[in-house]
Amino acid sequence: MSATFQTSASGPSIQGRAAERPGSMREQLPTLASPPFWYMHHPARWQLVEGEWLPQLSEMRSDPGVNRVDKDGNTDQAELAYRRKGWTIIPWDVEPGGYCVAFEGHRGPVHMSKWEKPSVFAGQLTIKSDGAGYWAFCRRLLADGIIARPDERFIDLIIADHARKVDDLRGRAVTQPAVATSLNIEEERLAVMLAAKERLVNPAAPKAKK
Amino acid sequence: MANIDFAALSGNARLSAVLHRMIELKLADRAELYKAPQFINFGSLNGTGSSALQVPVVGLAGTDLMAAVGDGSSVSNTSITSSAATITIARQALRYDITDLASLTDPLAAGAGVGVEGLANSMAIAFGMRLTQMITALSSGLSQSVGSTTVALTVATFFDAIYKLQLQSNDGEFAAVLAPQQINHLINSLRSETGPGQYVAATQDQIAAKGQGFRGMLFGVSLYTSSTVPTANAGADRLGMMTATGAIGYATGSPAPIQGAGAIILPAGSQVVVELERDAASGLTKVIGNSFAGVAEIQDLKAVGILSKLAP
Repeated sequence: MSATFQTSASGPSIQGRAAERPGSMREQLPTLASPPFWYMHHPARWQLVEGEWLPQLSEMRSDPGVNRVDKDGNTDQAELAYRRKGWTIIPWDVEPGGYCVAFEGHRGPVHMSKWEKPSVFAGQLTIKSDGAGYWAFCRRLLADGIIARPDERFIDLIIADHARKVDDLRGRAVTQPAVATSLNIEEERLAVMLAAKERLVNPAAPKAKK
Repeated sequence: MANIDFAALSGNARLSAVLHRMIELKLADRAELYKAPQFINFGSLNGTGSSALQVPVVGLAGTDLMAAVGDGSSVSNTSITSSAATITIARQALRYDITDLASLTDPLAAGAGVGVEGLANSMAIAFGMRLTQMITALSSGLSQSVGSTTVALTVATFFDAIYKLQLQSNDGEFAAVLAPQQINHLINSLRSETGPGQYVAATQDQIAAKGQGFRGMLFGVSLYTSSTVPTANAGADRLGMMTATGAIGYATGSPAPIQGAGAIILPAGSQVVVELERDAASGLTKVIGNSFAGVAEIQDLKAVGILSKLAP
């Protein structure tokens, strides 16, 4: 039991501290629990972002019962199956502090990437995406060699798909003026895809120092 | 003389509020998609000797073609190609604890309210939704995908998915499982489409047959929606999928009822076993639903991911 009598001649000197919410009023995310995950990449999955080809990452979650993850959430067999199919599993520690972050949720831990910023306003959950940070991470994966540079043939397939879409729009634009806007956008996108591929295949030589 | 007004009776002979004789369900996605014919049910692993089921994928019946061989020439031996997909089941469970006082004061008919029976009845759909969540999670592991990051889903992208599946000789009816926002974008894009293709909205009969998540047919593809469709690109996008029959399969298992245990309820048509565990000292009933399920991608080229922006 704490003393209630005065312990110093100059009077009590008791420091206050910031109040804490009771345990039952903890800030928690109002969403379903989600297990930890690892990013992974398949050599065929690339996407055009801000004029460059970046990897389209997937997630392998430690979710018991999903794609060979065992009853305890062990992903050994799942990893093996993915690697056999050519996927690269990206370890957490390639990003300082790890890229998988856990939040406390109403129904257990909620795992998100560090570039997802959840906030609760008026009881509603909103998640903002830090796109710039995430794309910078994707660029680093390429620069550091964690993901191999894209094979030209996969990029050609993506470009061929898009070229077919542009051809289709071009044909329809003749009879449907409303399609013309989409055609302009997709033609421009095709040009960016081709330019990005050119930079990928023939990177500019570093400038010589004077 | 004073009138007998409400104020005179309030609190004694009248109540400030009474409970309606029916509950309204809280808004939630209750679309159990695992029953869609495109997802194959490989059955129960009860009594099989393993928690994993290996599904052989064998190149028979048309995978290898005959070839012309010269008269009198010896035909060479051909080995068949084969692979296998493995479905590993794991426990899926949900538990509610309800006190006797909360249960006995339930004013609704047995099974309709928040009482022991009502909680037990809700276990079947809880399992169905979990299985749906497990299936939609598989879109992340598909090697093929269409669509662009932070771009709304359009009819053209939807066609891209159909073309990808057709290029791989997939046949039968395709099914697309999309997030609600993806469906909105797709329908918005359809408004500017002309030509013979049309969206056939689901009728009441179709919803009854195919489940709550069925939204109709578009270009011969069954459209399903689910809020469990995962996000991609650090939450910037949603990643739905289009599949042919046999791309994805699931297996289940049910815990066998144990003699001498507490009461057991087996909801009709479900793999779930609901057990009631009494804590008499605390006047508490634990309602525990248990089941086992596993899902896996059976053939990668039978499905394609559909990527589009998450924002409206």
